Amino acid sequence: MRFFLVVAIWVVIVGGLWKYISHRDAQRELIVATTPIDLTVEGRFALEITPTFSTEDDPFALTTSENNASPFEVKLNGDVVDMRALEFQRGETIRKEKIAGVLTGHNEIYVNASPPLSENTLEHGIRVKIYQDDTLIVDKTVWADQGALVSGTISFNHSQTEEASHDH
Amino acid sequence: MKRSIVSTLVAFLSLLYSSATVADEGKPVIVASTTQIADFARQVAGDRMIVKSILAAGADPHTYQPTPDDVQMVISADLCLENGLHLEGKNWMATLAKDAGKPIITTTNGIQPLSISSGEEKVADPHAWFSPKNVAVYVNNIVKGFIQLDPDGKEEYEARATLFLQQLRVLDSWIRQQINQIPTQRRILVTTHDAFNYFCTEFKLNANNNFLSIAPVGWSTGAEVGGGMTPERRSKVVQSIKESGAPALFVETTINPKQIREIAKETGVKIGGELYSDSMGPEGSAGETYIGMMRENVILIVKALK
Repeated sequence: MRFFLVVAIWVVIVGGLWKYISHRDAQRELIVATTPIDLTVEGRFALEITPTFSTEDDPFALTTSENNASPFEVKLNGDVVDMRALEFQRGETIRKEKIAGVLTGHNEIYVNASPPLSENTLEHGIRVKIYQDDTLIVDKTVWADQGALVSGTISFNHSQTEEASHDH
Repeated sequence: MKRSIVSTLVAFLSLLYSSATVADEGKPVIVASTTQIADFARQVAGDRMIVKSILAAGADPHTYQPTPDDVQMVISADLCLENGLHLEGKNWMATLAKDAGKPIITTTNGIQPLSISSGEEKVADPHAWFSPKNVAVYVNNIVKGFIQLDPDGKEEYEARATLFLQQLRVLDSWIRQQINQIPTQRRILVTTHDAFNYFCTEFKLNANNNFLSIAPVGWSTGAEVGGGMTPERRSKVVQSIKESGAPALFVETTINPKQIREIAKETGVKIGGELYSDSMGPEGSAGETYIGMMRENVILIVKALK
C-alpha cells in the first residue's frame, strides 16, 4: 500500500511539473517582426574568380541533388551565383557580369570549391574580385589547408557614399 | 522506512525510464549490420533517428550468427542498412530484414568493388570502407535512404552529411601525408586476413603484391568460398614476408591473433600492433568512430613501418 502511495505521489508531482513546463513552453511562440527593407544597391557589378587549381568532380561531394554536387559554388548574400556552365582552370580568371544582390552595408561572398585530390599536398586558394562599374571594390583571397575544400566567406561593406559616388 | 526508500527509488527510476522513452518516441529506428555503418548513419541522422548496430564492437561480421534479440531489433526497425558484397556471412542481414518485411539499403551500391582472386574464383572484396572515398558512397546511399524515409528531415541530413564528407576528405588527405613518411620500400602491410585491399590500393602499400593485402587468411574469416586459411596461403605469406623484408606484421581486433603471431615467430618479424578491421573499437576507445579507427590504424602502421 505504502509503495503505491509513494508511486502515486511521485507521478502527481513530476507529472504536474512536466505538464506545467510543456504548457508554458507552448505559449512561448517566437514572434519575429519581419519588415522587408530593400537595401539592394543599384549599379553594374562584376565578379572575378581566379582559382589556383582546376576543378574536377569531387568524390566527397553530396550527391543527393544536382546542385550540391557542383564542384564550384559561389553565393552572394546567400543567393547562388550560377557558375555551373563555367569551367575553372588553374590561374585563369573567370569574369561574371551583371551580378545582382549587392546590398548597402554588410555583404558576404561565400565560395566553396574542391581542388583535385591529387594535389592534396598543395595549399590552394581562390582570389575573388568585385567591380562596381569599372572600379575594384573587393579583392580578397580564400586559402585552404592541404587536402581541404577551399571554402570561406569574404565580408565587405558597401557604403551609401560609395554607392553615390558611382551613381553618375 | 527501508521499504519506502526502495519504493521511492523504484518510482523515480521508472519515471526516468518513461521520460527517456517519451523522448525517443516517434523517432525512426535504423538498424545497421556493422559498427562502421552504424557510425556513418549516426553522423547523418544526429538525434533525429535512433541508430542501432547488430554487431557489437570487436565482433566478426563474416562468422556472426544472429540471435533472437537481433530478430527483435530488426522487427522494431523502420529501415535496415547492410554493407553487402557478402561481408555479412551468408547474407545474414538481408535475411533478417527480409524475414521481418523491412526495407534494406545496401550501402556499398555504386562502389566499384575490387575483384580478388580466391583460388580459381574471383570475388568482390567487401571491405570497401577502408577507402574514405568509398565511405562517401556509403554516406550518400544512407542520406538518400533517410530522405526517402523521412522527407521532412532532408535539410538536416544533407547538412550533417556535408560536414562528415568534408571530414572524410580531410582524413583521406591526412592518411596520404602520413603514409608518405614511410619509405616506399618499407610500405609492406601484412595483416591477419585480406581486409586491407582497398587501403593498400588507395594509399599505395604492398607494391609487390599489386597494391593488395598480404594475409594468411582470405577475404572472409568464415567458411565462404575464399575464406579461411589454407596451407598454400600461409606459405605464400611467409615467403612474401621473407622476400619483401616486411618490418612488422599486424594483428586485427576481430580475429584471433594466434596465426599471425606464429608467422611472426617463424619469420622473426615483430608485431606492429593491433589494427581495427571488420569492426570499430568499443565505446570510449579511440577507435569508437570510423575516423578514430582509421586514424589509430594509420598511426600504428606508420610507427611500425617507417
